[in-house]
Amino acid sequence: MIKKKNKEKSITEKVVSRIERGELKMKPKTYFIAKSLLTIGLLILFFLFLLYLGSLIIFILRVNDIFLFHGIGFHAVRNILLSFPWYLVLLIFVLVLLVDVISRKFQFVYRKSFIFSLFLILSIVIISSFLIEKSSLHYSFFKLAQQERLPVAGKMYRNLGNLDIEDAYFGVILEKENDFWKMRTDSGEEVVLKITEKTRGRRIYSQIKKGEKVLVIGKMKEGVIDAVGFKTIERRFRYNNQRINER
Amino acid sequence: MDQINSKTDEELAQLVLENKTDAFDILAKRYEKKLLRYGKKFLYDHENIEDVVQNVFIKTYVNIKSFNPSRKFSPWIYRIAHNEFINIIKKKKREPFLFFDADVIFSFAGKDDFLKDIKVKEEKEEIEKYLHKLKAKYREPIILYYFEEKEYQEISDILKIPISTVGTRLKRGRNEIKKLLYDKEKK
Repeated sequence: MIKKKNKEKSITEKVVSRIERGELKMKPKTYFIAKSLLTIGLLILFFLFLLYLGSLIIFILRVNDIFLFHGIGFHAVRNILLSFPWYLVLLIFVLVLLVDVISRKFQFVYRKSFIFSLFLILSIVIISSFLIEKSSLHYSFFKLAQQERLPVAGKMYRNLGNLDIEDAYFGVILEKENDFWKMRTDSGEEVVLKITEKTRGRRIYSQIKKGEKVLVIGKMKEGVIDAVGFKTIERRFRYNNQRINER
Repeated sequence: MDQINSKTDEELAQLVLENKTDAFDILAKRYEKKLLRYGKKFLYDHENIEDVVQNVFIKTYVNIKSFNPSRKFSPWIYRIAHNEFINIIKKKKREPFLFFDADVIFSFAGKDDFLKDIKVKEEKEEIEKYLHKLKAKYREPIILYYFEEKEYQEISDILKIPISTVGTRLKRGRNEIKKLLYDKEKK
C-alpha cells in the first residue's frame, strides 16, 4: 500500500511528464495577439456604429425641426415621444451594453463599477454624436438620397424627415383677425387658428405679422386648429431644403 | 537548481516561455497545494478536485504565451482556476450565475478594512464551517481573501469584477455567515 502510494504521481508530475512526452503544446503568441486584435477591432466597430447611430438620432431631430418644439408645452413633448424612433435608442442601449461587456476583459474597465463605465461610455457617445452631427456627414447622405444617388440606405435617408408628430403644424400666417387667424400649412392647406386663454405663448400674438412662419400645436377639426401651443420660428431645416419643402 | 528555486513566479513564467520545462515544474509545485485548497473549499462537494487542478495546470501551460511577465503571475493562474471551477458549477447547474449581477452593477462600497482584523484562526475556522452554505459569488471572494490571503486588487483581477464589488461581496458573505452563526446559537 505504502509502495503504491509512493509510486503515485503528483498533479505537477503528471502534467510535466505530459509536457515532456510532447502531448501538451503552448498556443503560439500570434493566436493571443489575433484574439486581442479581434476584440479591439470589434470594440472599435461597435463604438463607431454607436457614434453613427447617436449622431443619426440627433440629425433626425434636426431634420424634423424637433429642436423648435422647445417651450411649446407638454402636449408637444408627449407627441414627439410617441412618434420618436425608439428602436434606434434601444439599439444604442444594446450596443453600449455590448461595448461595456466586451471591454470588461481589460483591467482599466473591470476594476471600475459597471454603472461608472456605462455612464462614461454613454457620455462619450452623446458628446461625440453631437460633434459628428455638426459635421456634414448625415447631411451629405441626406442630400445624396434626395437626388437618388445614395445606393445604400438611400430609402432610410429619404424618409428621415417624415417623422409624423401628431397635432403639430408648421405654416405661414396669412391673415390676423382677433382670436381667429388664417394659416397655410406645409401641405398647402389653408386653416383657421383658434386662439384661446389656454393657448401657450399667447402673449406674443400681438407681435406676429402677416407672412411670419409659425409652429402650432393643437387638434384640427374641420379646418380649425384649437391651438394649445404656438410659437414663431425663424429658421427651419425644411425651408432650407427645396425638395422636402415641395412635399 | 537552487538558483532557479529562488526565482520569482514571474521570472519562472518567463523561463517557461523560453521552453524551460523545469521552470514550469517548480511553478506548478508552488501552486499545487494552493489551488487544491482553493478548489476543495470552492467546489466543496466535487469528488475529483485533483483532476480539475490538473486541467488548470494544463491550461496554464497551453496558454502561458498570453501571460505578460511584467504583471503578477498569481492572479493570472488563479483566474484560470476560477474559470475552471465556475465551469464545473455551471455544468452542475446548482448555482445560477447571472450575466448582469446586481453586486457588479450597483457597487459603490469602499474598501472594507475592518475585515482584516478578524483574520484570526478561530474566525477562519468558524467561517470554514459555513462556507458551503454561502452562494458561490460570496463564497469565492471569502476563500480568496481569508484562506488564500489575496488583496482586494488581486481578487478583482482574478474575478474580473470592480474592487468595490469585492468589498461588497466580502461584507455580504461575512454577514451571511454571522447570520448563520446567530441562527445556530439561537437553536
